[in-house]
Amino acid sequence: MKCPICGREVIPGGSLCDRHTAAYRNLLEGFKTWSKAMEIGWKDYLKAIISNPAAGRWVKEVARRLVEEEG
Amino acid sequence: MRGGHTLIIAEKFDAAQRIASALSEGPPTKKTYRGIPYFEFKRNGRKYVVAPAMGHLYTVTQRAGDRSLYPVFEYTWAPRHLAERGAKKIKTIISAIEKLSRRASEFINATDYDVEGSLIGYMILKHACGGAEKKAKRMKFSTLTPEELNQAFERLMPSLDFEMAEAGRTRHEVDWLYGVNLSRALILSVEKQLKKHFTLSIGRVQGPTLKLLCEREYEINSFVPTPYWEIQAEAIIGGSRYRVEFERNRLPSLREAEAVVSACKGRTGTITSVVEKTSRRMPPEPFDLGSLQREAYRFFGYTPSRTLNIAERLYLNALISYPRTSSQKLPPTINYEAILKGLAENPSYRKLAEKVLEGGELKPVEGAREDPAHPAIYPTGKLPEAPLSKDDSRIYDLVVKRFLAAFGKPSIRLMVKVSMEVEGYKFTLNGRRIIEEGWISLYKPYAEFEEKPLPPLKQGEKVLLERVEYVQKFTEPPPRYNPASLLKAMEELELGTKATRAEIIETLYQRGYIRGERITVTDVGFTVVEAFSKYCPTIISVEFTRNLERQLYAIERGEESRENVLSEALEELKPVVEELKKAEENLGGTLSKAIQAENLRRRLVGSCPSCGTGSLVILRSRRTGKRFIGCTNFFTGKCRQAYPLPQRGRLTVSDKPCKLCGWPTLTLKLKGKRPFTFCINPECPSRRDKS
Repeated sequence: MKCPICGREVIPGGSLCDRHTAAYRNLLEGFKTWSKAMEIGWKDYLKAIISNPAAGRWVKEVARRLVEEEG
Repeated sequence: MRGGHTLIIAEKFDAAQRIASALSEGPPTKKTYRGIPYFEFKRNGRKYVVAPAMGHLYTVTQRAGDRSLYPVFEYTWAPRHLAERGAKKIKTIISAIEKLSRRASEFINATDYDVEGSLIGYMILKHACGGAEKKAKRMKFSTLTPEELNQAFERLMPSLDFEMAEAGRTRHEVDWLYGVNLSRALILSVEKQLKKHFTLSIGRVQGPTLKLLCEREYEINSFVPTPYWEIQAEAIIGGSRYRVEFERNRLPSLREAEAVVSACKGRTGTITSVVEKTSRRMPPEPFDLGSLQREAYRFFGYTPSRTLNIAERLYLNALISYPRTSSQKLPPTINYEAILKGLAENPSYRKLAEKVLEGGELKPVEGAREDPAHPAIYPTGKLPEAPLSKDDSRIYDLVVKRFLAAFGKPSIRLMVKVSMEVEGYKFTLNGRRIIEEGWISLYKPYAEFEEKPLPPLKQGEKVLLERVEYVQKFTEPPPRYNPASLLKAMEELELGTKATRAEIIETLYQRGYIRGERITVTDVGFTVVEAFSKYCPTIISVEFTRNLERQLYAIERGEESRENVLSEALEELKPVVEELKKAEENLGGTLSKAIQAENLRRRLVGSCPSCGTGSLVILRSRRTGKRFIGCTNFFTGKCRQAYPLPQRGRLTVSDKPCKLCGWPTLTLKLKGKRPFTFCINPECPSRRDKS
């Protein structure tokens, strides 16, 4: 199976490749910190990540896909 | 003394000329053999001939068989012109040395005194001088000044430094075995897929270095920034305004930041303490090659390989000592006083050199690192024979001032910390002032001290926090490596040697594995590392290379044998090559995709302003073969948008848009010229200015 974001092989038992899986994990961890730091919902968090210049390329790609998927 | 002359082998032409001039009783005679220059002179009635090499004249090569296949474990040492394309001149140099050695009864190796130099001399004496390596003597020197060359000649080592040559020989053989087998695995796997040749390579040091860069790229690409808040405040003390710092650099939540602002804004507090402290800063240690390369990058933006080339040139002009050194020591034997007096002859350094000479006992600060072969890099004190180029004079100035600074007194600063409390929150105000400049005065403009003077403030004095604000900030990913910080990381991890690190970094650029000054790993670079991590992780592991490096140093010290190191290296390599052979198809598939994507990315200029659906790419006309910028819809006839391009030189798409019109820009590099960046928009004001 191919990663829907980059077309690389997905990791065993996963739905994304190793790079985007790691990025997704970091995104989930990051949300915990962001929620403690300020009042922010999941969707606004993703949008903030997409527009943040310090956020990593793979993290932004995952965030964009999640925004698209969740409408 | 036997009949016949003494043949002296030098590493390069410039070195040969300096050796001949220094040792000759009168001016030496320059002669040529089939266009190859050499020098003859007399000393104490004896005839001497100095023949220059051109770096390595012999190299490791495959013993027999097809030179594109692998695995290959049978090798031999051969003249470079038989193993490499474009090395024709080597043949003439070897025959010149062969001819000059025929009548020689004594031999001296006067190549650079390090592993590579020793190997160069050893191979020439062994193969071109009929086995003269057994009876040859060795000249050891760190500068090409007449004084040191004469001294080295008077104190010749009775035999060659065989351990160093042996370490060099083993390094070349191990690197060849790894480089050839692994690189051919990469090249063939791609060739089979794309039916086209691509130059790819991977080696014992290249692999772990690229992995290091990939790990950083992983961290950056999967980095999630965390928000934090910073308190910015200004206080009025005694009628003056000061920027003060909050006790905590980062507040993890907006709520906490708001609480500080609402509690402190416009409130009055008091100074709780004023603490003054003096601090001493010692001069920086003398330059080894790595620290010179880093400092040159910091001040002039020179890549490590550019700095090494410049330093090498300065050495050959007898202006600085041998630059390929890991030493940070300046032994008294180099004669500090003579060097400083020499520098004082140069109007640019007269005042500084005299200041050091008048400062009492000459005792330089030294770093911890040592090199058994050479001291730290230092100026010889000789005046340049001709005006130096801009590059040369910059590096020379850096070396001279670093040397002078090493004799400087410590710099003494007064640090003042004013602590204050407002509504239970603590703020500080920091001031600094120089009491004694010390070595800083000798190392300008490379060291500066920014003063922040404070008026006398007293405990108990009132403080009004007039402005208090919070600013939201985000954590940053780890910085990208640049050539200088990568060099430092390689040094710390013991990857490669002082002589090879700069070249390894250049190779990574040339292969298209990395790009940019702030280094980014390309998809091809990633794929190479991922493939090796999957099929043979040992090859790209830092530990593996470091251990091998240590074994090579052990050979240099005579504590390990070449045979042991080679057999261990082969034992490790053979199963890896087998694995790669089995995985050739998969490896080729992923690498080919990455290469194609990278090739397209390199040619991609931007989106087409005319049709809006295509992209502008650098194309070649099918009819004329000329290059131009065209829309991807050009060949289907949907869009005819095209822009002309210069036909000569290397073009790269720049990542910076035009400052005047915002269109994409390209950088043109013509051989021997500075890169030139231009806008592709024919209507851009920047192009009108030119015409």
